[in-house]
Amino acid sequence: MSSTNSNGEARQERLLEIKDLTVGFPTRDGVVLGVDGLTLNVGSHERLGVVGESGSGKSVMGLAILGMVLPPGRIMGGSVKWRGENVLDETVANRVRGREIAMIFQDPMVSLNPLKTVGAQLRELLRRRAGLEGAKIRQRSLELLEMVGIANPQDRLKSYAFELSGGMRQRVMIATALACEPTLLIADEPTTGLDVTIQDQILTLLHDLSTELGVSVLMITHDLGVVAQFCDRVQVMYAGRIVERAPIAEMFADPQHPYSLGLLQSVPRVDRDESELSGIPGEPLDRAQFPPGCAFEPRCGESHDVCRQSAPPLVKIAERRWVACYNRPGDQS
Amino acid sequence: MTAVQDAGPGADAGGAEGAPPEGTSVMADLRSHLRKSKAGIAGIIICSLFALVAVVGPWLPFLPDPSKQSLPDKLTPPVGWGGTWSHPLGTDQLGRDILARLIDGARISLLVSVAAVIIAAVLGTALGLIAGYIGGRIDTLIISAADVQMAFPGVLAGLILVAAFGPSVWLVIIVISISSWMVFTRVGRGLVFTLKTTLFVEASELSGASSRRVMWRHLLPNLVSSLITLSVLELAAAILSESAFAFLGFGVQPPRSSWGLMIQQGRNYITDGWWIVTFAGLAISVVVLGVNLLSLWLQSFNDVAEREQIILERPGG
Amino acid sequence: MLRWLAKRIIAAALVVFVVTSLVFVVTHIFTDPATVSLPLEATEEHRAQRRAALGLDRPLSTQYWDFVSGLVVGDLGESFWQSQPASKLVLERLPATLKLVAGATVVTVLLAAPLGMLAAWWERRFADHAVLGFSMAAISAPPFWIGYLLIIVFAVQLGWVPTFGSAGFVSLILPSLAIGLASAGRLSQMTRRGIVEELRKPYAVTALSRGFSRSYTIVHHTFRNVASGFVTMTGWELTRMFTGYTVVIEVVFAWPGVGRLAIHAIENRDLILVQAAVVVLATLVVVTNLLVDIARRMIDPRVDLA
Repeated sequence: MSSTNSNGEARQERLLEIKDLTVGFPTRDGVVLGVDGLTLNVGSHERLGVVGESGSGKSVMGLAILGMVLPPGRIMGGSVKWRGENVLDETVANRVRGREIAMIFQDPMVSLNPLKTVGAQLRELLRRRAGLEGAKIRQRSLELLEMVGIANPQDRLKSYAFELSGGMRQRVMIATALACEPTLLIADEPTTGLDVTIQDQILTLLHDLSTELGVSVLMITHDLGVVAQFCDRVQVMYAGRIVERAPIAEMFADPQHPYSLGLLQSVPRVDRDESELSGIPGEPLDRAQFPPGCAFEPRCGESHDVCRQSAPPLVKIAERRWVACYNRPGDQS
Repeated sequence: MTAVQDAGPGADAGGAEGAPPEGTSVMADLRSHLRKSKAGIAGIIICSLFALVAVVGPWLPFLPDPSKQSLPDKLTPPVGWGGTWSHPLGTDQLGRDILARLIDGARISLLVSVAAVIIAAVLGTALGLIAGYIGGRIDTLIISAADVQMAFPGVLAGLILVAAFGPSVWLVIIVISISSWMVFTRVGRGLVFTLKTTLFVEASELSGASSRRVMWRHLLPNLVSSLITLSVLELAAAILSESAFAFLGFGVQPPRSSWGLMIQQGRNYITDGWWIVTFAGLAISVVVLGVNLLSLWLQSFNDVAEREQIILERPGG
Repeated sequence: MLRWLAKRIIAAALVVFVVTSLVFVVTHIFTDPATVSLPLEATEEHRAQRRAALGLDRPLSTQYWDFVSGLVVGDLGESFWQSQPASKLVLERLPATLKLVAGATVVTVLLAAPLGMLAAWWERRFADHAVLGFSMAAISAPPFWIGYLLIIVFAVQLGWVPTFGSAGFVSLILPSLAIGLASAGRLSQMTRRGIVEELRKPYAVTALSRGFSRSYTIVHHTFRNVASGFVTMTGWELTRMFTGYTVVIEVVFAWPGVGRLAIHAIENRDLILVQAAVVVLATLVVVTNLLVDIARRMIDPRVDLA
């Protein structure tokens, strides 16, 4: 196993490099692109957020990083490299999945096998994927459950998912993800559907674990609050593309893309009056009717002719800041 | 923490479920879908071919009389196994032409099955609509009857009725329809229930009388497409049942002919006249296959509409 | 669990009661065993005599009471064709029918489960289409015709197995195949559909994302979740077998079971014996449904206890 050779020093080691990734879903009206030419990097010890509405392709992206697409979808182009190796190659993917990159999903009620006990699910992972044997399996199972803050781990090993509370299930889910000591954790809406207090606990747990274990996290969410609380850096996704990329503080202080601005304005704050809450005008895009230009143009308040003709490229506007909008001319240097 | 506007594109498609589809666009959809489905085309070709043969059979030229016996020609093998083109599929134990008898048998076999399915569909759907519409005790009664019917399938009813009244074609039609009505009842009832709930909000804004009209206007198009799909599915079962009853001697009696009866009569000659049983069974199998392909295609057409919603929801997450 | 079981058993007994009462209506109100047993040209006097001899001239309520109380103690009347208690004749033939159904079930399960998994594994590939082709052919061909084809090929042409009768294990193979192929056709498609659906579900996606192979996920994760559906469908196939397939297949293979007995009873105008066979087969259907419910409850702890 080579996952432990990156120490604190290699602060900026690039783990994951996604380039021009395109995932298509054939429908009766032609191919709908779930992810459209996506480029994204994740470094070691990093907490990166990907934020977007439902239908923006962020979940498709999460699975595609593991080389997985739900049928009838298909990866149509681009590359996904994990430490320089091509994850879209099935043999590499088989090695990396679960061991070096692990994913946790929204709604742990249905993401845990309903007919297997917690113990059985951990056991099969530890035996078949982590290569543990005998008494070590039970020992490590208990250790994992303790690590994610589950009381009475011995009893919980015998529980079925439906016997656990929502927060507990997500903790178990995190335990199964950490079973093989991965280097990157992809968290797809890990707090959606949980109570606000539980959401907070889960986020804190993920934050602490990522620091303690040195695990990078790619947080996929529609919730800017989650991003603000959790991430170092954020990418805003719209219609399968990245429209803005920025460090977390700068994104909240000075959003550049009109869509990011809209997202921020729709987050209610305690220090603001409720009536000021202004959503984004217009409906989320119907993906089957892709306009040739900027996908956000129909909902944008400041669009020009050029926006309808071609999609704006993602350009650098300042150090660590990128945006895809014709209204924000890039730093051409 | 508040969610960004979270209505996926799938939400729209789901809301349109109860709306009456426009006739022309449905037909256009069906046609364009059919062009892509080899199974659908094969099913339609097979079904129309058999239907045509059943209708025009007696007027076909060059065919011998199906009941004309000719003992010197008995058990002539088909072409390719030593037979001649005068009897392309050979002859039976009485020297009758197999092809002519197959075509003659198609009439009875298909007529009985189609009639049985129509009776079952009309009665079953009516009961289902009544059960769903009125509800209460009548609903309980009809549904219990359907449950009991499930435990008492057609062949058992057939055995007891034939034992009591003697074999007849009418009995076979009745037996097949009473073993399939409850399928239609359940679907009809289920449709009324879904529409009652999905249209509840919409209808409650209207006056009582027009809400009932709304209901029917939404119900009928849904009903028609479900009924067609289901009838085709049940037709395959009905043809198989008819052939089994004819084989057991419960249905049409000699000298009239049906495919099942040909197998019953040919079974004593499987050593020196294998073709009688083989071709009669092949006729049943091919027509049932055609109906099954048609039904598979109709179902996949419905499924694709559903699947597309799933696809559109998927990229969201 | 016990209360649930008691409820299900009572419901099943009720269904048996209703079905047998329906049978009584047909055999005693629409016609009667005496009329059926006599030729059409028999005189009215002759008929009355026969009715009196069988106790059919008594009030219907008395006859119904006798019928129901007979049912409870397992008395299904006397066969005139064989001059023996009908229940004894039927029960003598029952083991043969059960053996046939057992053989057909083995064929069904052994074919359907692997074929369904294979098709799901190779979803939308050649193997998937091949399994679909097999299924379509199997459900489209009448089982009795499959029976004759098997006889023509394996007994007449190749001479590998005996044609008719129930001489030991070997003679069970062809009739079991004739019945089981259609069931396997339906069941394998259901298994495939179930697994493909399960593979799209979050828990299966999770398993795949943890690096478990597609085959491991199918066998160890999804199949268990499909199993309760599989058991239910197998149960339905069993009821089909009891009520349809065995009757025709017993005739094809001259298999000495309940179905063939019923057909012989019809030929000999023995309404009481037909009635007994039908009551026994309907009871088997109800019992099968009950067992299926219990099995589902044991496989999937989430099945509602209500």
